[in-house]
Amino acid sequence: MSAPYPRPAPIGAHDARFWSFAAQGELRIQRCADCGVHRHPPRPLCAACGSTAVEWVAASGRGEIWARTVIHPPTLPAFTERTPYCAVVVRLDEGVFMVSTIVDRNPDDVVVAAPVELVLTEVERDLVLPLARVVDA
Amino acid sequence: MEAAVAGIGQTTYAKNMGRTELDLACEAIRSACADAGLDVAAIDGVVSYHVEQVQELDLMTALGIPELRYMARTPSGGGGAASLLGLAALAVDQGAAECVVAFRARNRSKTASYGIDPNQGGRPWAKGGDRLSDAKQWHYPFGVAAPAHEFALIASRHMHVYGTRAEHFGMQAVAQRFHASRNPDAIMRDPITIDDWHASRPIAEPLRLFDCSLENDGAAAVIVTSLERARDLEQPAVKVLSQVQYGAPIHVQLCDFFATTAAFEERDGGAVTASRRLFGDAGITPSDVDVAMMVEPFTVAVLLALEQYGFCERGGSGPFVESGQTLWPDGALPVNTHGGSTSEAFVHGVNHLPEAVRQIRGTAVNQVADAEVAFICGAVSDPSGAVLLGADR
Repeated sequence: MSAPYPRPAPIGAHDARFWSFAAQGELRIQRCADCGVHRHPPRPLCAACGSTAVEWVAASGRGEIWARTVIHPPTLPAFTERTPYCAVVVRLDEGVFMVSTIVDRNPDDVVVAAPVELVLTEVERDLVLPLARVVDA
Repeated sequence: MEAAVAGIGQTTYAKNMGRTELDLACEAIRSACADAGLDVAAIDGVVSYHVEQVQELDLMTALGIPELRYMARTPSGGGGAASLLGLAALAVDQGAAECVVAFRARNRSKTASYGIDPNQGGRPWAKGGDRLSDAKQWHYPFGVAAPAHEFALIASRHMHVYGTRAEHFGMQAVAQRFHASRNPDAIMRDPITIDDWHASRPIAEPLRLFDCSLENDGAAAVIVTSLERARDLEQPAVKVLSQVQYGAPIHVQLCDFFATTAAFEERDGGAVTASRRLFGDAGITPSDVDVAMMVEPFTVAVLLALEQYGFCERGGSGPFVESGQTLWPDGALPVNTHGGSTSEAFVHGVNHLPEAVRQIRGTAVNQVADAEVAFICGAVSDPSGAVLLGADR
């Protein structure tokens, strides 16, 4: 049996909201309520206009692979049994970036610029993560 | 700028030396003072990394430094290697201190005798714990935890945008190993070929074992003082021509790294902008540089630095390395002539400072003929900086 996942345990309220939405099956990100710029990871204010007014909007989950790697041992104990595995940086259509893992493909078949969608997945009891799936054209 | 490097020092570099970091730091600093012909008591300023565990007070007590007038630390590990020298030179230039030591001491590898702690030894995931309160929460649950994972992602983007090949990183590893093969202080001295690189195990593709910095113990130090004073000391003065520091997102926060820099493709900023200040202040151009030390937790960092500081065009670093330009003695810009972090030693890049000084003094093992200008930069994937050193003639 694999070791347990390292779990987000945010101190700040902004980070905690992202994970509590995810736990409810909602992929939401921050958008400035004044100028409309999306941001992620969560921040207390908008870097573009300085406003602290924020909305948590549903993200499309759609985007493209911006960067990818295939990771071999040694690695996190929770991931050791599934090596080699593919980790990616995804650029969402909203313009923000998220790190994720590709679970539905042979790592060698995952290429930069491929369209992907993030799917909230309960990987362990009470741990819901946005995992990436390649979208076939 | 009226500052110069007057002394350099380093310990033996080796695995599991069984010595404390204070012990290592004191040896490197005393060695740098002896090199300069200075009494240790002359030190009145100390510069180190924010992650440095040897405290200024402990150095005062252990070394017998009577008074410190200036203390400063620079953020983010290997990004700050050149910035240490920059902070020391600024302090001297501004009169805040007369004789500043910049140092780094490490006993932090995965089997470090210091044990596991957020700022100490152990694997990254052992240090991170299983409750993620900081930026790790955006990486670790997806299996991204080691610096190698982060640099591999950055490398993959460069390959996609520019057609850089994985073996371009390997070619830099081979060049640095050749340099180390002639350096008796280097830990890894057996030459390797590109076939050896292909045969080395993958760590995080596209990076392989030989792209990675070493894990070892050791310390290095440099002494900076005024140019006038340095001229009266034991060694030829090595002038600090200019220095820059810059803030930029770091590899441990990849969402921000790709969102706000994308420095090697879409925008200026970071090292690209800093480079103009660095060369502008010195009144020279990248083509005037004879030899370069580019701090590289992984070989890809050398390629990024070559582009961002303007030694080749954007996207041109792979062919630049492939054509042998970074290889001593015949390359146009030999890089990491001591073997660098992948073959000499990993001292968070601070072992690159003494090598740049040796090149200007004319005493390097792999001496670049008539070297007059040396360039040093920290890892460009971090808040970082760079320094130009020049001969006093």
